[in-house]
Amino acid sequence: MKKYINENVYRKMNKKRIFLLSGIIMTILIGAIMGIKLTHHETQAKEQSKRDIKMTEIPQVKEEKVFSSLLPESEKQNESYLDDAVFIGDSRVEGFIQSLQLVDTTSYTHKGLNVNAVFRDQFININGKLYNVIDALKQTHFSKVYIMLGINEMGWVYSDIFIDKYEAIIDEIMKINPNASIYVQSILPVSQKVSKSHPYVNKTKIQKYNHLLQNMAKNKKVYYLNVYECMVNKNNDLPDNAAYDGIHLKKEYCEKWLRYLLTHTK
Amino acid sequence: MKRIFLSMIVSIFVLTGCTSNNQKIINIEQLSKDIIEKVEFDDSLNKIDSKMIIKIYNIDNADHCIAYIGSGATAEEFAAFEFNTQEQANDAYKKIQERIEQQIQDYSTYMPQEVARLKQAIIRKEGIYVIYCVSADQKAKEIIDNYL
Repeated sequence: MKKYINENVYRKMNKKRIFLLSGIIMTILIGAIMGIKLTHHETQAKEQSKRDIKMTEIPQVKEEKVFSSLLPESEKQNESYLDDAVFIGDSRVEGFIQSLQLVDTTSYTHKGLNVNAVFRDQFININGKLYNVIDALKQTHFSKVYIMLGINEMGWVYSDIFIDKYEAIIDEIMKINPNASIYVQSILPVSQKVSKSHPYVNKTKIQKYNHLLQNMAKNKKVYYLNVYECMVNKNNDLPDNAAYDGIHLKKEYCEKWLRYLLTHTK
Repeated sequence: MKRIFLSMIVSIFVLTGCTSNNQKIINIEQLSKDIIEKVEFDDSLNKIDSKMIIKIYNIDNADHCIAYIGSGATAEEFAAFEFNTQEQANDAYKKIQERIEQQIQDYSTYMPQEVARLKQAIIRKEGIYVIYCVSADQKAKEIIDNYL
């Protein structure tokens, strides 16, 4: 009988223990789940706050980019400011130099010039001998270089090859004259008609290439001149009256271009 | 009587536009004006000064020169040169020919449609004058020929 009572008491006590243990385990489990959830929430909150920080950082990075390479408007210089400059570029730059008769400025320009041809094509006549742009620069006194290339490369499949070669040009110029100021000019716009009909030159591509050029200028620590902005209408096209073929600028627009260069100096 | 006879001879030379050594006189200013005003160029041409003319044409010994160039949208251009000697004019003629060849080479890959225009370029040498014009308008040829 006593044994029976003891067994009964023992079973009751066991039940209580099991009950208590289950309670503890449940509490731990709930606590753990809540903890995980809280941690998850905290992580999410932390990530969100990181994102928020990043979001607030983005404009600062952009600000830095603008001030490190993109030249703001400055006091207008005289045309003689360009006397010790070299212009490297395609037919549009050639037209600019010739229309405005910048005879005291050195121009290494050529129709269809691209970043590869700068190293390859021998079209610059110095004392009766022909040189490519890089070799001609080695024999030229200059303290500023204005480069505008890109429209002839728009048919290329890989834009990174264009940027790589452009960077190589900048590296070479830096080697030839480490003290020279290097200005990378944005690619000028084309008319809406050209943008819609040309096989590979269009507004979207020009904007994409200009974005790449701006980043490249920042990375190479050279100046970026957004000449594009003084040429476009409200639709970001070159106005129809700016060029007979929608690409090569009339004198009036070359004058706008010159004014931009002379009011955006280091 | 002698005076009348001499003045008649001088008048004949002046009216026929000839110098004493039978050299025709061409008013290149007037010729340029006629070309720019009467010929229909596709592109708008701009007058350039003698320094730029030397750079573009590699001709630095002209006594007088006038030139108009386009934006690069076409190969159209016009130039008129007056020299002191016929030899200088001959050299300039060769340089203009070289210019045309170079332009054909440059435009052939860049704007092939301009090559035809360049192949029909007008290039004339008359005594100490060299006249050059790239235009698809036949009027250019007529005007130049009227002056020669």
